[in-house]
Amino acid sequence: MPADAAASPSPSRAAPSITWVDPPRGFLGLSLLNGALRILTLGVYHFWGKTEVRQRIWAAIRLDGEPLEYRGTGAELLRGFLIVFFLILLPLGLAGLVASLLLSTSNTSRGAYELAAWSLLFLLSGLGIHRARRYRLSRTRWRGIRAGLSGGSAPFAWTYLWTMLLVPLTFGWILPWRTVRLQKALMSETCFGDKTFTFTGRAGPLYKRFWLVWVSAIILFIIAAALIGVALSLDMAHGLPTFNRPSAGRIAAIAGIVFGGLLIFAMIRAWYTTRVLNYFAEETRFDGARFRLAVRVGSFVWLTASNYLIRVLSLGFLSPIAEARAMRYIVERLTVEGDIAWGQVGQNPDLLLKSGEGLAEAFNVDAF
Amino acid sequence: MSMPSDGRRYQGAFGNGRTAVTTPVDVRLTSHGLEIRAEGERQARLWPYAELQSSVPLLVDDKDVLLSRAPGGLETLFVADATFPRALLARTPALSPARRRWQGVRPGLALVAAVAVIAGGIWALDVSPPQTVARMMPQQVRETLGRNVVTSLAGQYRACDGAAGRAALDRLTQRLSTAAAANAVPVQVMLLDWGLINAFAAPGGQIILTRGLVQQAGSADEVAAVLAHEMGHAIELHPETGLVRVIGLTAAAQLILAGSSGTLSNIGVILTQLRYTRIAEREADTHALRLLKGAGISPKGFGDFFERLEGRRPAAQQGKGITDYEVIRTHPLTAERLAMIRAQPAYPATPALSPEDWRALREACGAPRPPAPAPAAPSGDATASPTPAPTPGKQSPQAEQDIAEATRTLANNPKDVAALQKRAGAYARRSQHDLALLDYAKAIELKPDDAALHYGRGLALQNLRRHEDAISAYDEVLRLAPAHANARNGRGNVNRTLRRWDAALQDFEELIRTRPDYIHARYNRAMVLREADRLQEALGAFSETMARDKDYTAALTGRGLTHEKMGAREAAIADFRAALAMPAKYNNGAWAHRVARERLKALGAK
Repeated sequence: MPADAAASPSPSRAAPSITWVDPPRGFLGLSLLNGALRILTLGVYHFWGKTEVRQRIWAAIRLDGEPLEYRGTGAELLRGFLIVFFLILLPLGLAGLVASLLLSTSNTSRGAYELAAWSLLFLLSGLGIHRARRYRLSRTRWRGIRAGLSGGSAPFAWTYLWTMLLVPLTFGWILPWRTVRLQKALMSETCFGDKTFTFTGRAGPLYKRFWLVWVSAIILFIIAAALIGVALSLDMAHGLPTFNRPSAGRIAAIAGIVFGGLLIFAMIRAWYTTRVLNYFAEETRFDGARFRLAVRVGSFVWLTASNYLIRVLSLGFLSPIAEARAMRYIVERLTVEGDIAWGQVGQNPDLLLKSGEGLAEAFNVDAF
Repeated sequence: MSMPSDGRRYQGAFGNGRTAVTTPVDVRLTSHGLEIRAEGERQARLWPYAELQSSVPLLVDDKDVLLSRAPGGLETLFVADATFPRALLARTPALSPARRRWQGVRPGLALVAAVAVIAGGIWALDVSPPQTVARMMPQQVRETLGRNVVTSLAGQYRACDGAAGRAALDRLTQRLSTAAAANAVPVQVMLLDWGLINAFAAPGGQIILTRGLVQQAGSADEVAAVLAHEMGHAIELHPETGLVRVIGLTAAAQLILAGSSGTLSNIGVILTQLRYTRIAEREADTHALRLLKGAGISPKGFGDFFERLEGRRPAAQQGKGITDYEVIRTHPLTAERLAMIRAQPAYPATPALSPEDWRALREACGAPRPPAPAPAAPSGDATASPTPAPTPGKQSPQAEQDIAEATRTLANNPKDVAALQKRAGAYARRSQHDLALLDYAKAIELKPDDAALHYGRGLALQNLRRHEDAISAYDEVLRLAPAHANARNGRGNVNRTLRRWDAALQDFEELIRTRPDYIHARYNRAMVLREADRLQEALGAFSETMARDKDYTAALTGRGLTHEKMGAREAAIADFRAALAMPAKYNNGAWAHRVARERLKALGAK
């Protein structure tokens, strides 16, 4: 980037550009260093490592050529984790242990306990998603102006819980509606400085693709079941049914059918998910600008699959690389249309949030 | 930090932190700090180097820098000039990653030190926190815990509730519990209809034995040893301690490897647990040996069982293949453990269960489903038993079928002697001589004067190496049927095994006199003479055997052995070669070929 591009006077009204600038040393060395230090410190360094990764990812995102800033610290993340561990996870774990001691396996009280436990878990997940997003936004700055999330976590967590409980009751048909509802709750409370984003998405357009996902899931299940049945009946054709020990070839065939089915389903789902992402961007507005995201199925599936392999094959040590790739993927496909009057975006007077994102850490929820 | 100002002007973008707008500025690195001057402004800002902040640790190869001013400054300065970071770092090394990383490493090192101190304390004071917690649990909690463990591990398997088997198991448990005396803990032993060969102890003294274990064990003593071992675990509260330890370690691992992939922490927990497993096994073994001794049960079964698991075969079970068994060896066998068991001094012992109880226990889950592998006929040299050729094959479908049929018949009429005899014969063909013995004993109870039944019983006893009992059984046969050649031959062979040469010779010579065509008597007499070192007579006896049957392979090998013992190398080699040149006749023919080959090799002949 030429030096004068950033130094030129920023025009008061112009369509902003969003770009990605790789850090000079990439993420591989940082990942390995973080892993080594984490082992050396019995895991404590995790929070500092994670913070440095975020600092570099944020700094790689350039708005009008100037970087975002991540101002969180490792100590904040550690504090959040400790709070959640001792106030929530440990009591919950002990309660679970006591329940397993006192309640026998086939018991109505056991069922009630399970339902309560899962509900609590969903509630806490919702809480964690909201608080993690609030923490990250509150630690995000651009040109010294802070971002934030204005609403409370409890209403969001409640919405998260009851819509989750409706998923099995509606055979999954509530999913697009739920996604829109949660996105709206988050986006319409997201602010940069003293200006808030607006989200005008509706569930209707998503159902145009969702129904196919739903139907294909059922059809694929039926086809796979039929194919497996054929594979097994071939076995029976040679004499007695031998369900106990099907041959290795047969097991491979069944595994292949299941894997193929899942792969086709993953492609169809990706076709839906990319639509969700692009649609959500399109329906998001900030000041006079709206967003355009051009995510395509093929590249999206490749990103998801390769990131999964990177995480799994490196036992999680290279997940910073996967995080950076995911962010870069979005940033490089995101454009802004229309103008933003930067001169009228002022500082948000809200106080800094004090605790870290413990709940998200504990429930392994990555809301970004 | 006084470095001369380098005089260079860098172009930057300055944000005032009030609105999201930046203005172009000139930046200079002076000796006091950063000098920031906006176009047209007379007064320059000065940011002292010590107050500079960068949200990203600064690297020399960075292409640009975003700065603000501590503490919590909202003003920003962005300089996109690839030479600026290096120049800035020379003046403010505090912006490099080292300091910030050290902030994260420091509490980690404190934790490492704390963990080391605690671990050292635990080791020095020799306390086990998980065991302490386990001891504090009320028995009722242990039992509920144990039930849940059993349900999750083996919930799908039916408990074997054959009343007689149940009673036998209770008697055995009682016998061992009494021996535990002061350390006795309440135990509850369950036998599950599960083919796996396994046994485990769950919290609350709940012990699981599997059908596979009971049916594949060589004797009740082996089952008693396994049970005593599991009771040892129960006495030491190992299952409870293990559970508490896993929960504790998992929690600690979660805390330490916060939010990271579960794989790493699981590996750590498993590795730690393994170490304790080995210690626990040794403790349980020690208890088991004590319980067995207190109950007057021989510890030999313990060793036999381990050898069986290991794939080595104890002498008494030779020929019983075990390589096909599905065995989960949760207890890694070490030579050390076996040595400890085998080193037990002998003490007076009785069988763990009566034959009837042992049988009832084996059938507690329904008719036994014995292993496929293979009986071997009593080895040729030892008996040369002329019983109707028990084909020493891998598997005998006929025997399988006979057992099934007879068992069905017996279900309707337990007093069907013919069925008992048929099943006993089939068991014998599969070398399950203990089961054969039980059927013969029952049949004899119903029909005490049947010589054939007594003969079958004698043969079974002989194969089980219960020599004196076998002789009594053969005596009974000969009392009922003095002309029973096989019984007399059998008795001679038992006496030969016991090295009672005169008694053996008496039987064989009587047999030769009354049944000149009974060729095995001549061969066996020759073998006795050889073993009694009456070598010249032995040579004569072997030649006489071959004069009657020139194809008696074992006789040639026997004569060769005799020649070898006399030092007649060439004659011995000739005999062994001759033995190998002919087909293996009789059921000791294979032995004859094998020995002849071995001796030829030993003698250096091709």
